[in-house]
Amino acid sequence: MTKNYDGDLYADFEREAVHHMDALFNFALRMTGDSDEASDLVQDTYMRAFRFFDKFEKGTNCKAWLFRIMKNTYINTYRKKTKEPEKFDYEEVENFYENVKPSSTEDAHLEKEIFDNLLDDQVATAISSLPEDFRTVVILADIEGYTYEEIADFIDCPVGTVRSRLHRARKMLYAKLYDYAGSKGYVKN
Amino acid sequence: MIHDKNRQEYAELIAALVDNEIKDSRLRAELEGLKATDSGIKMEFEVQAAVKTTIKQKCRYARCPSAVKNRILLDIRTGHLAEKRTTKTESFSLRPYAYAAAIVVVFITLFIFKYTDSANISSLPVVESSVTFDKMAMNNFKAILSAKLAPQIASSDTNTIKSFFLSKGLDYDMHMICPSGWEYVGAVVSDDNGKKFGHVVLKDSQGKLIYIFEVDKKYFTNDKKLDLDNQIMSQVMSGSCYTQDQDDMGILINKTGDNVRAIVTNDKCEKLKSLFCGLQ
Repeated sequence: MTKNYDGDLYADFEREAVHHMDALFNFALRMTGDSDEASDLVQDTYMRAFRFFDKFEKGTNCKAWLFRIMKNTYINTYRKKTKEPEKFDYEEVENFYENVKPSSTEDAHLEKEIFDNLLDDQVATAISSLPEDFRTVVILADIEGYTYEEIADFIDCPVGTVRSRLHRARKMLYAKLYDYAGSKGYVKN
Repeated sequence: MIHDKNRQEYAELIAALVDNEIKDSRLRAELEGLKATDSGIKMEFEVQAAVKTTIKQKCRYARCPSAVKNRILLDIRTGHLAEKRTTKTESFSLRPYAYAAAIVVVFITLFIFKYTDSANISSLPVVESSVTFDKMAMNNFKAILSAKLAPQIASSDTNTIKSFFLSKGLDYDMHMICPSGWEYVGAVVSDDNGKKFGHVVLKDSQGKLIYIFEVDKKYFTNDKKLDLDNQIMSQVMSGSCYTQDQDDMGILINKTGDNVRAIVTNDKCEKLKSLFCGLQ
């Protein structure tokens, strides 16, 4: 459904879309892992958004609309350029999970202390290594702080899918972070 | 005791419990109960919560740098206005009263008729023909910043802009000097009853703009089309650069060959000095 705008299109665009730039940049940075790439991705997203702004229905969720444009732009352009994340074998993650379960259940509070020792970069690297669909939900939920419903709207999928991906993504991250912590000697083997 | 078939479903719901996304109070109570009695479910909860907390603590929210914001807005604005110009050209040609006598009036109305809706015309500040060259340049630059004025031709290519000036009948050569790190956004030829004047706009990667209004010096002397304070004119004619900071803008006036140019930026005039003084 299209909407014709009265007045100046640029002014409307500025009012509706520009204040979401921080959120989009943050997302772009986590998706690309590079500040320059993120800047370019935000720029391409906004240029496209402006070009098609007459198609945006006033009163609907502009941020979700911008996120969808960014995701498509990322898929079409940037994903080809950026390094593919390493392949995750989820079965391996489950096996790992089963192995650490007995001892960790009793000392669950220790996990936080173990992860506290990790560096910011190590956590960022672990997130970057997730498959794209999983990385997206983690960024949107745990960094940007959106609800499942908002995320579902952004990535155009059911809420159940968001929940499932988020659950698996965190388990993958847990395995990855546990490995990092182990390699740094924070975990007793 | 959870049946294995349901364990995966419960495990996923635990993620939602951690995120406070379980709205159904009965389901919420059921999950809390399982968390307390089932070691596997408890583990799920601890893992989900630990990872979520770690990410929140370790991944700082990165704001878009202001330079990037400025660059994006500038690109959108210049592209938008250039597009509007194209679509408004026909209606402009039907408005003969746009050709007012004073150059600034002509210059601004030229853009306004071309780039904005006619409803905006009455909201324009009245610009007197007695406004001096430096004030004209600053007014034009303010209009560019507020997206009321934009290039008639959008191009970063020097030769394209030179050809544009030629095609528009400019009777003097613009000295096209593009400092390193800057690029042309586009250009304009304004028309005051047949007298043509050249204007160019440049940008850098940080979102800063430079506007140059350059004219043959004869327009200050022979037919007094333009006016500039005598003291400033003497300074400029002696080969010096006149600079001033005003309203978050910097202006520089100097001579380049037989031309006099007013250069305005949304930065300090020191910046202009380093870029344009000595480049004659």
